[in-house]
Amino acid sequence: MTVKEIRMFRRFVQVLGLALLLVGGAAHAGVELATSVKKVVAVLDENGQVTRRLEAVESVVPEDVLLYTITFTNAGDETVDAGSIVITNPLPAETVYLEGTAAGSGTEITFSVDGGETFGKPETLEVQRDGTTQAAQAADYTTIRWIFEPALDPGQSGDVTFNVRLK
Amino acid sequence: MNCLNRFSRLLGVGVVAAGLAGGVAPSAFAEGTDAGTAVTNNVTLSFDVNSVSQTANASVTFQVDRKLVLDVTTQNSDWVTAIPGQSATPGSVNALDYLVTNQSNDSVDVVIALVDQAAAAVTGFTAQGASPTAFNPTPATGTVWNDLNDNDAIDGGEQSAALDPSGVTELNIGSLTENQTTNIKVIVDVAAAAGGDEYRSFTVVAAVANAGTALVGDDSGNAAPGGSSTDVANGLNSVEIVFADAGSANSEDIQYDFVGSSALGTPDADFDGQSSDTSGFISIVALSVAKHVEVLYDPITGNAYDGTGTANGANPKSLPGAVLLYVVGVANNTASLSGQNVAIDDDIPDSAGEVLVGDQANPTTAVDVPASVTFDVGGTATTFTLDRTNIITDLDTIWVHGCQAANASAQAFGAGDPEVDDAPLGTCAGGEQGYVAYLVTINDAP
Repeated sequence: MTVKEIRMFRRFVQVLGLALLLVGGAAHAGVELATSVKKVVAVLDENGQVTRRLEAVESVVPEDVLLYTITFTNAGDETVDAGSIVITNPLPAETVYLEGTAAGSGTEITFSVDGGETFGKPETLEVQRDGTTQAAQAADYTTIRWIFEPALDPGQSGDVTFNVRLK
Repeated sequence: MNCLNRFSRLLGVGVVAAGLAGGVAPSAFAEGTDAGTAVTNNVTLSFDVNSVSQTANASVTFQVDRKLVLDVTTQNSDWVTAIPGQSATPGSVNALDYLVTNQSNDSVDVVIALVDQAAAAVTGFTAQGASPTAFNPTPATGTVWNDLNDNDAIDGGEQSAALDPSGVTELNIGSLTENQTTNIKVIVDVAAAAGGDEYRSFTVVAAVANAGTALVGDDSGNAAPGGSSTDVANGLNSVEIVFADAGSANSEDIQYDFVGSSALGTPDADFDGQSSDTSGFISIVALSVAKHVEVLYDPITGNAYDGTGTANGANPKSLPGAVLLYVVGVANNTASLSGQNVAIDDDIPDSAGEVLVGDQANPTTAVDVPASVTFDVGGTATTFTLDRTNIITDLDTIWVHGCQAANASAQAFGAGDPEVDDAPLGTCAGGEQGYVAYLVTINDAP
């Protein structure tokens, strides 16, 4: 195995939750995580152009489009290692991921079609459908993963986003 | 490592596929996620500090709100015919038919209003003439009901109401579950003196309701006619009401104010908690038709009539070689409507008889027809006086007696012709009758 492959394998293990076994001994380091949701509302302006605005989630009904934002902040006093921040977000039940909407500055974004067992770029993902192996569609995605490449100094934060449609 | 990744990816897909085959049901909510469902987003973050791994978690949850959508769509593709003089009896007269569908993500109560729109045009139906009029009675009388089993009868448990003289009739049809449909039917009386091509249009407006009272507004800034918005500031974890219905582009599909019980001139709008659609009746002439047959002659008994159209007391039987008289009578029992271009087609059963044609041996020189025949046509005993001209020598003749007495005519069967084809009766005005008469013989060939 190369060094990179070793690192990838370690992340894989972390996603499986085994990383919990490694927690401890970092009293002065911590990344706070928060997630929020907004409704994406398309409106026609006076020029007949469709614009989109975000609204608080007061009324959410089927077919509404939602924007999830995940914010991570280094609340500790030590720098988080570059390439070590891995955000894993299973798609909420009753929602469908909207293709091309996952975003995050400085991140590598991959998807899973098997409940988070494995991840890959969209063009590499395959599913079994009608008895044949076919390229996965956005609606097949079960989980999104972002790997934040830079180091995160104390006080710094970042965020990643994605859109879904409520079934 | 790459091989391992590929293996585990395929393995994972296999597990998912097996899960689906094992009975993981697809979404059961054809109209979307059920109201009240909690949707939670769970996020996991892992990171290293000085090569020591740590994790953090976060989640956010909201509840799916009530998306209320009703749809009303008439099942009539064109004007529904109504007969002058008809009485609004379920199952015996044509009914307007509207399908009400609950497309919400929850069960919802539904109230409807039936609005009499006189002779209003209906988009998509056959165009009316200039200045269309509404048939009487005015106001319309009849019945509207919730035909749950779509059998055109008013059964026990089906809500119904007599049409209100105000022109609007309200009906509480109770609750519809997700995707449930029900048929609203409307039947009317029609004045006997109603003319032809007169109309009576009705709009069904269905509104979302609570315990039989239409909702005046939702929690998202949308108001129903006569109501007001009750835009509610709200957290994530409560269930609000949102009107999500589509309006209609047709001006006759109007809104109804359930608060003030009045029809509005405005068309059905988006997000007003209502849906409406329009259908209507057209009055038409109805002709009744009936067929009479009797034996005029058999080779053993001889004739039933004496040569002057009077019965002679004999009773010839339906033997081979017997001669039968068929009379197809048509009557217009309406008061004033006319039927134009009335024509009769009549297939003669070739197994039972054949038309007497000119080249066939005349079984007798004395076959006679009665001076008149009387039989029931459309519930009325009707007497037809027969044209006996040349009856004896021209046995292959079809006598065509138009509804207008002056246009009696005759035409001949062709050789071996098996049917009366398009025999013209002309115009049949209200109260008039016409007929087609012809003779056949029971085949005596071996």
